[in-house]
Amino acid sequence: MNMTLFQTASGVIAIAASAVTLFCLMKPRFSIRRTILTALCVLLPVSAFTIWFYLIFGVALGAKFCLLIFFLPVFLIFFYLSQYRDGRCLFVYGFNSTIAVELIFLTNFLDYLSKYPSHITMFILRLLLFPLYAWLAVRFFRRPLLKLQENIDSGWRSFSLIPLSLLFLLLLAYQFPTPVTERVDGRPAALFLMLCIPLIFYQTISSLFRQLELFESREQQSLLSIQAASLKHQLLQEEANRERISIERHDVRHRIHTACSMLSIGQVEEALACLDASDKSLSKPQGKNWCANPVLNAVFSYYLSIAEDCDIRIDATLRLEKELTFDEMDLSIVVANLLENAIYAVKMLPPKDRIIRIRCTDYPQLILKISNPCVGTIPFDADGFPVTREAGHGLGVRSVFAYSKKHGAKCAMRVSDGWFIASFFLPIQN
Amino acid sequence: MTTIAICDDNDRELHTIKESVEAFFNRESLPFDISSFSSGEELLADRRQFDVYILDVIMPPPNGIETALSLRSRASKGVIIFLTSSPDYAVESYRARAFYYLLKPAHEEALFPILKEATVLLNRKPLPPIPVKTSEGTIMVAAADILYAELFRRRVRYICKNETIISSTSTASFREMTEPLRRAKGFFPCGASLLINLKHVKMIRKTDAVFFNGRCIAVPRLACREFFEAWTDFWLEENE
Repeated sequence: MNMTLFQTASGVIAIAASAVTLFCLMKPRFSIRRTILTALCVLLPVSAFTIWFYLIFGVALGAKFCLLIFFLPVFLIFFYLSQYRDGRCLFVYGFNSTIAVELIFLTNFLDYLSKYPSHITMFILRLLLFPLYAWLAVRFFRRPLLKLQENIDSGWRSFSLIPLSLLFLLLLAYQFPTPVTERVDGRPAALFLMLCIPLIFYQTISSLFRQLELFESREQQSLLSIQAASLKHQLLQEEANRERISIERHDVRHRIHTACSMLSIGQVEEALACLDASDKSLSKPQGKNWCANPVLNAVFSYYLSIAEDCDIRIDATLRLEKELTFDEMDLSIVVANLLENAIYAVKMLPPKDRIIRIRCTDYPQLILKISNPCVGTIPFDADGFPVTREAGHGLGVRSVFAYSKKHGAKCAMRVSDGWFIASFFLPIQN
Repeated sequence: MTTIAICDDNDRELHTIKESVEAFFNRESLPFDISSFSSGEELLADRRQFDVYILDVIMPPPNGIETALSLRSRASKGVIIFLTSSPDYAVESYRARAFYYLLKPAHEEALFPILKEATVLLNRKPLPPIPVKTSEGTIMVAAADILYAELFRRRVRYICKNETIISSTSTASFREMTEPLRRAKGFFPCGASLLINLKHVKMIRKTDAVFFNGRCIAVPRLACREFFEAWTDFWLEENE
């Protein structure tokens, strides 16, 4: 069966729109330019070959071999270019392919029903539906789908089974043993499946969103609990200081009376010793202040007191102004997460090696560096963040990453000479 | 000669500190000139710039920290040492980019090493100018003014902070030409054909280094990570 011009053009539209949509839903691991060039280098010959195959061997044979000659090479290049080479990649690919195939079958079926010659109905429908799908996908799915991929890194393989099995079912229901246009009895099942697919996708994406919302609310909750714990710690410290001052005031009054009595009977040396003792006791530090900014000081005080309770030595130089030009509440989660990770890592070391070094400045920008000794090798992922296999760990790093992305900040982690070093920079001055 | 300003509202302590400072400079055989002030107001009224400021923190207003901040706002680059009986202002003292915060009574064992460090810092020689062969002859370029050096059309060119661009006519390699700068603190090689002076980099925007004068330069992608780490380390060290 030879293909008409409209049929060929319809094929080109379907291939081009679904390929563009697929790459729009992907987070590339290379630069945009390199990604586009590589994708074009593979997609153009693959698409040309597919069209040639359809033209030479006809639609029926083309449809049977399309998985091998088109879908497989596209998946391979998509897999190669994608940042996430796991279940996420499979899910996005399966999602896009299923929708594209559904649109192909739908337009094909409607074209068959319309009975217009030369497949003009199919051409017009595809010209409308494929760009509409591309627009809807980019406008409504791209950002949330990328966010989901970024924040949820497990469970994707099982999720990807949904679109992939739907794709398989759709191909089976519509194409095998012959296209439904040629067999009336297969139509109800194929059409029912085509109706169900958008609903299933809607449910799948909604459930993923609920997961993301849960993740975000957990993150928000952890920020609030950090802030509450820091403030509570600060209040307790204030309380202790107030009590200390009132005791001190009482003692000073007592010492002055004693010194006066001594001076009145001529015991000058003893009076001086008494005043000296009073001076020394007044010079005792009253709870450590780590930096001038009250919010960050509360966070540092809270975590560093936990560190000190774990026999961890602290070497900190924090040069921060009292008033900062950014929301220090937001930043406190970065500080808290990095400190928490450092404390967790250092706690595992023998007491003599337990030390955390912190350097921070707000000139020319906010720069924070937290270093701690570490043993063994630490694997890093493609984003440069340490990979952890332990349940419940690694969320802090993701949260720092999310903050960096949102605020144009930058965070880098590395291991150097047995030290794990986290450097963080937040632009605060233009 | 090192000029020193000592400011303390307590005459006895002022005298003691002055004696200790004199003892240090005499021991080191360094020329010096000490001026004493009994209040921050008196020190601020004196328009001279000193190399070293030794300030008591707790004084009638303006206190030592306020005085130091006023000095800094006048672009005074002197070394500030706070001397006080209370540790409570240590964190505040950072604001004035203090060199040291020392608790009274300042015994010579504690004060002398700090003065020694301060004099070393004051005597640190700036980077010498580097000779650059140009079409108009050899000119001396102040290394501290260079934002970055890059290879441009197989020649090295230096971009300075006042936006002057000095193009070398020498055929020597980029590495050879920039060797004196590479040895200096703060110059970071980004790949084989770019050398950036970190002191002039105000921020990093994506893969660009943004200078204080607003100029930007793209850092080669492969060098981005190391450049970021070098830049953060540089500023943390500078501000320590």
